[in-house]
Amino acid sequence: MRLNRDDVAKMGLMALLSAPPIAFMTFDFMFPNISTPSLEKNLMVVFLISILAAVPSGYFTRRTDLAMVTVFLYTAAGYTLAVALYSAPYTIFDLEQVLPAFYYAMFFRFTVVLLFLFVLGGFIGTVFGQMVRDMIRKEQTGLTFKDGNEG
Amino acid sequence: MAIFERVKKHWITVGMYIVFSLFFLSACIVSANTYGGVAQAQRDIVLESPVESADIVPHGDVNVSFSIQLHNPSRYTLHVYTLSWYAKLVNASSTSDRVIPVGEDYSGPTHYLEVPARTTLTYTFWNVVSDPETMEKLNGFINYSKSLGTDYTLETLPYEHSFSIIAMIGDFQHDYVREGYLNDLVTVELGYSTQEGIR
Repeated sequence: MRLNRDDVAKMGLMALLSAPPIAFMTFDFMFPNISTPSLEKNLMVVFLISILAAVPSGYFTRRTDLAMVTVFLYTAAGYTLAVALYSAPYTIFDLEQVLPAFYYAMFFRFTVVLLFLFVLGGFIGTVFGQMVRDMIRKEQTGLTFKDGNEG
Repeated sequence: MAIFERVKKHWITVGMYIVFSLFFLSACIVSANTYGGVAQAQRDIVLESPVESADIVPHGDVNVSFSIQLHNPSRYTLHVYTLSWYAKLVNASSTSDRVIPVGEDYSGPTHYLEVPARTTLTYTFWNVVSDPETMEKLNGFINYSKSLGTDYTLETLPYEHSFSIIAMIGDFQHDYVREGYLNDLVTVELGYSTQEGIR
């Protein structure tokens, strides 16, 4: 897989922009009663949002392999951000943590299943994004030829 | 860089993407802030200054009283679910009347008690023991103790008080059936007993 500087920049930017929805959904899945707005642990909504979050990576990336790597990248970035949010009381709010191993084990145990949803939804979203891009391009090409014929 | 050219070209799509991302980023910040606030509330909401007393009132009855402060420095109102106080005298020498109840009080969820944010509330309970049967037991305990070499009066008897309060933080949902940890997250359970102190 060959990457140029633009590819890396694009993938990095998309990983950054698609990470917040992943982070929020993971955090919300852990604490649906205190998060705002809450998805109430509705896996269908989580799946739909993970499709939506992946649409730009398909739309802006011509190469399918890069689009799929972007899905992995933003899922990892989002999950890391979710762990940071989960640790907020002990890092930002200066509370004392009693059982850190248990605390994080609980988080991974509860949310690990979401990673499959994010990646699966991400792949579907990528394909959907590429389809949308191709449809728009097709329409544009058609319009260009139509304009040319008229002219 | 070519990427900026493409951003310029697709500025509507990129703009929508940024708005989508910022929405979830704000939700993350708000939610993490709430989580921090709730965790701080769990740490900072405490019971303090318990005072136990017993006084002789007219007609020789005894007024057993107890007061304790609930300190809520958090930004959330506490909705009291249950609140209970129980006072007793333990008579270890008796086989039939080992526990002599001298006072009790209870408030359930239907009483809608609240502890506003950033306040300290003092709960005071009392009960005038005038029932001849109970007074007889208390005096019996005093006389029995005297025979063993310990001098008590109705005011100095070793009454044991126990107090407990269960309250919900804010208006967060707390009635999950399977996810008990979510209920625990927004529930404050505090108690006091003469023997164990504040817990």
